[in-house]
Amino acid sequence: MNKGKVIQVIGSVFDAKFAPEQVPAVYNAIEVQGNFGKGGKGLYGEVQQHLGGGKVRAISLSSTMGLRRGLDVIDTGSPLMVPVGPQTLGRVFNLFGEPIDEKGPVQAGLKMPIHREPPKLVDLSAKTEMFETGIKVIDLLCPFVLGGKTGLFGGAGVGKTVVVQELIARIATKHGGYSVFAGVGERTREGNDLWLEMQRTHIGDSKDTVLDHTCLVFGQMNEPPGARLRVALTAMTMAEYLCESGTGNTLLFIDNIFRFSQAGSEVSALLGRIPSAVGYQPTLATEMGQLQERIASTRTGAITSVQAIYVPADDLTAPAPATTFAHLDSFVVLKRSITEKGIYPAVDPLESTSRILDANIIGQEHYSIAQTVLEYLQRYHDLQDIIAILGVDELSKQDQTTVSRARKLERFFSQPFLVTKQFTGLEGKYVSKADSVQSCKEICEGKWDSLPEEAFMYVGTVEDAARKARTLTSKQEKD
Amino acid sequence: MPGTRQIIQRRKAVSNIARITRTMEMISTAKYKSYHNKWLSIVDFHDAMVQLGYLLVTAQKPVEHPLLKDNSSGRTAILAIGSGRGLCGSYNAHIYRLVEEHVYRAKASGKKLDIYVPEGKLVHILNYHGIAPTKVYSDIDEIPSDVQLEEIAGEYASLYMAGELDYFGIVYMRFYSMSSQRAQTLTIMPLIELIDDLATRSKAIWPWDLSFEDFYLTPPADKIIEDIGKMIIRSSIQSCFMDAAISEHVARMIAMRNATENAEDMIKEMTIQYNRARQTQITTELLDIIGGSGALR
Repeated sequence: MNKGKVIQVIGSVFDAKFAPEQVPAVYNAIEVQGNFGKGGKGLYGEVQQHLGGGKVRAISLSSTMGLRRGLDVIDTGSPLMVPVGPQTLGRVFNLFGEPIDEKGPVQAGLKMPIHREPPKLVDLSAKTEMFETGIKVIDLLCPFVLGGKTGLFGGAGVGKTVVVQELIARIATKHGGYSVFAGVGERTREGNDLWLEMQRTHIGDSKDTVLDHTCLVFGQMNEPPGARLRVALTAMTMAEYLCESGTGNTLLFIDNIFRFSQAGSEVSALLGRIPSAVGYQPTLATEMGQLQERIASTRTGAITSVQAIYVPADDLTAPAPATTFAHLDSFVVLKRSITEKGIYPAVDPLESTSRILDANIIGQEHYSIAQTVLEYLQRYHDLQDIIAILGVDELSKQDQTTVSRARKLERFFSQPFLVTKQFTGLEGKYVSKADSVQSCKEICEGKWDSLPEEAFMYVGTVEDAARKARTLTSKQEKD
Repeated sequence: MPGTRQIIQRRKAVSNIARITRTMEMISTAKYKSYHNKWLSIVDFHDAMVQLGYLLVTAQKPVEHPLLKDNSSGRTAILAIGSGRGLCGSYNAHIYRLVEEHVYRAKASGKKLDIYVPEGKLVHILNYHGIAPTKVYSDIDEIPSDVQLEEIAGEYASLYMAGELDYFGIVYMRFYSMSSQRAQTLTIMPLIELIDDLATRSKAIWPWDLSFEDFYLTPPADKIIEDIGKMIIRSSIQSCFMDAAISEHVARMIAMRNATENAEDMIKEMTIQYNRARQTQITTELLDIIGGSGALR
């Protein structure tokens, strides 16, 4: 066995010295012998750098409490191995692949390393298909790609996690394949909520709960940066196996990919790298690339991923969200100014877009309606300063119509969610893409100009809005 | 987050707008003051005129004249007075709503409606709604001159007297006081209706409150009624234009005051935004330098 000793501890990074001819390879997991944590287990680290003379620098993957110089270190001879396969379904793991749901050990026949090469270019599938979510604004303006990557951008508290959970509720319950959820550096409570929710919800009409087809991996806020940096890879590995083993399409939900970059930046300086812009690690783009490239559609199966991306200080140009942008097929940008209007999901229609918003893929009708909607909203956006200063009355009649339709569209893009029923008291609405397109077409054509704006809040199709308008007027008459 | 430069640019644009709106408010205030005196004297003259008319039509010996008779040609006309320029809040929207009502009513009763408008914003609004005005007076400057009044009033009066017009009204913004203006229609012809209507207005001294001796007219009433009738029509049109002009300035004053206040709020908001952006930029730059040198040490 390849043995060494801890020679230096710097925060969540430590150095170990091995015999010069037996240095563990980069990305190998090394185990510090001792009683760490609750279970009295060893502490795992991952080799990041060779410092020469048999010394290696490693990131600790769990809390370094109790770590000291002189402890024995063992090279496990491979990167971290996590269990994969159908046995992982219905279970909750930490980044080591250990079950944390207290349902006993996982009898997985196979373990896979968390570091792997992304699929080769020739193996990638080039098919492009739309993935319907039943959320109006998303299906219309930033349609998801089947086997593609979707990012949900948003500052603190604009509803990213809710949208992710809603998508799980909408997609996973209808979806035939398996899902993997990675909780990266977010609140532990949300993980618990999700787990309970998944136990309650059934897939379609079958007896299987959503949890039976899902595997959850958590490395939440309380974990050290090393754990948050690698937990996404653990989930990725499990998803990859499910996908490759021929079960077809796999869904991968990551909440929140920004924490992955953040964890990297926390350890970067400790590893001795010179910080780059805004203090991020100089290897930000590489790290992100290595993870994102593995989320791919191959001929054997597709991984469709939905990732929440926290936007620090609502600034989309910050390095972390900016590097993520390049990898995505569809961007859903959640805006604070829209949550302030009480419109949820707070999707910013002007900033959100999709690679497949293209007449050749989604069809001419959908494409042209989406463009018309955007024109209306853009015009409204441009006129906002004038309205704020001079008032709507000063606009030309044509602009007044544009503004009133744009305001209706803006409100129409709110939608009651399945997962927020207990908060809003409203039944969740699934609107098919065809209905969304048709409704928006009619609003743009002015068919519904006579309805009041409130009628468009939290309804399904535009016919529901008309119905709501009638109840609104009858209520007014009663008052 | 927009850069500091963009915020400064926007703030500059907004403060320029504020400067314009503030100036417009001052101009309208000044105009309002000067119009107010004129308005008072026109009202007095108009009242006297109407009293005379009232006495004539209620005289013991009835007067006969085509101006006082009802017509049934199926043709009606309105003169809609909108604002000359924009930037006066919902002034034109109110006028338009009344015009629309006239259009609707004319359609319902199967009558032909001619719409006359002075050049201005209202013309665009009417065109947008697909209502083509019969005639646009392009040379009237807020209040028509005496020559123009003569021409306008003469046109309608002669049409009416020839029996080609049943109804003529003016849609305008009536000025009650600084804080109250309302869009309304004043019926000019049939003349009886106008005299009735005006005689009951609160501003006028009610003719029945005055005690008169019996009076004789030379030349006789049926000789002078035409001139007096035309004069009443003329002065009604003038006073409507006066009301409209003064209301417009009040409306603009209020609209511009609000606009200036909004712009000032916006400037305040943007100043805060700018300061914050600047501070963030400084912090970021400092952090980069400090972090970089710290890592190299």
